[in-house]
Amino acid sequence: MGAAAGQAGHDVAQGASSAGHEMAQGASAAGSAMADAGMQAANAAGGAAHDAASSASTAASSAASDVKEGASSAAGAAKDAAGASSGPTDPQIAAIVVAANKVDIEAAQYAKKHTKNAKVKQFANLMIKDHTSVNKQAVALVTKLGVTPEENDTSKSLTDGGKQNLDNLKTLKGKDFDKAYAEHEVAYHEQVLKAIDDTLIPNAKNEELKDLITKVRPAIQTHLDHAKMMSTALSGGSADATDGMKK
Amino acid sequence: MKLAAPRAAFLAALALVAGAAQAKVYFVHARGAAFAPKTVEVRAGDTVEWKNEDIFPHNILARDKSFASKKDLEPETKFRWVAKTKGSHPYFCTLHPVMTGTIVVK
Repeated sequence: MGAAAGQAGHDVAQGASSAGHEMAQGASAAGSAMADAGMQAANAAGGAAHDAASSASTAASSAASDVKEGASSAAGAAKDAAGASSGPTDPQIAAIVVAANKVDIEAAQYAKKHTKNAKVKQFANLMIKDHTSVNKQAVALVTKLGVTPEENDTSKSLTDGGKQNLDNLKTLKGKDFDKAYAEHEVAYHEQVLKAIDDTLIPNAKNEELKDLITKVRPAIQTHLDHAKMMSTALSGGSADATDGMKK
Repeated sequence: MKLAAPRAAFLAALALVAGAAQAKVYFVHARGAAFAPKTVEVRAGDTVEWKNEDIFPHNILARDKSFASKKDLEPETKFRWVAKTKGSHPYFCTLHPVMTGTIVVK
């Protein structure tokens, strides 16, 4: 992604000539990530149990369920729309990518502001950071390619699903809010992952666009793993979504 | 005796130059939400360079705090660390804790 160039970090050392330097080749990065994710899950201890809601009211559970169904419904509609006979065009895919990121950024911004749970806030911050970065590069790419994102049923469904999620979150507080947010994040990332595999990558015509979506996939997978652990912890399970961060 | 000191100094300088020449740079790729290679063996004095090849930010933090990128590495940016302390130094990305690796300094 040429568009990524120039976003130099502050303490980044610029690379010297690589001539003569050794570069060991690694095994499959994606495979390693998945293996690590599994190990993290297996090793996670109950550090977050204290944050989990010990009980949820029937109404809140129902509301949380509605959120999950809303996400599935929106993403399902997205899949149906995108999965139409000819599949989405590149401009439509660009709009889907932008909408998918925007929806999760907005949910995270709301969650960050309204949760009192440090781990939920941490997750929300990560969603903002990662999806903002991806969107920045998506916009840079379509600008470079001269592609104008074209709204379509899929992007509209994602946007509508995001609004439905926010509307539901606004009715909740405390642990019920955290649970609903976490459950929606699981459902949302599962559906996005499925859309990437079944619809976006197979239908993207431009190689750079396809490459961008392929590069997004590992982030969505790690977000899903993280959201699942967070959701389990909030439901009284023993998984600690941020176990790896303990020093 | 007068020649001994300059000769010793010359030899010491030569050894220093030779040592410096042997120092190497090892590359670790942050790609696909994983570090590759996962484990890198280096000698004290060698440099390890991480490059974020993903399209989202990462960072580097050694569990023993022996090295850390002070800020997040945006896409296509790098972080370098000159290995000093011998031993095994596991590290991870605090943003994506499933991303782990180890630098072994011999």
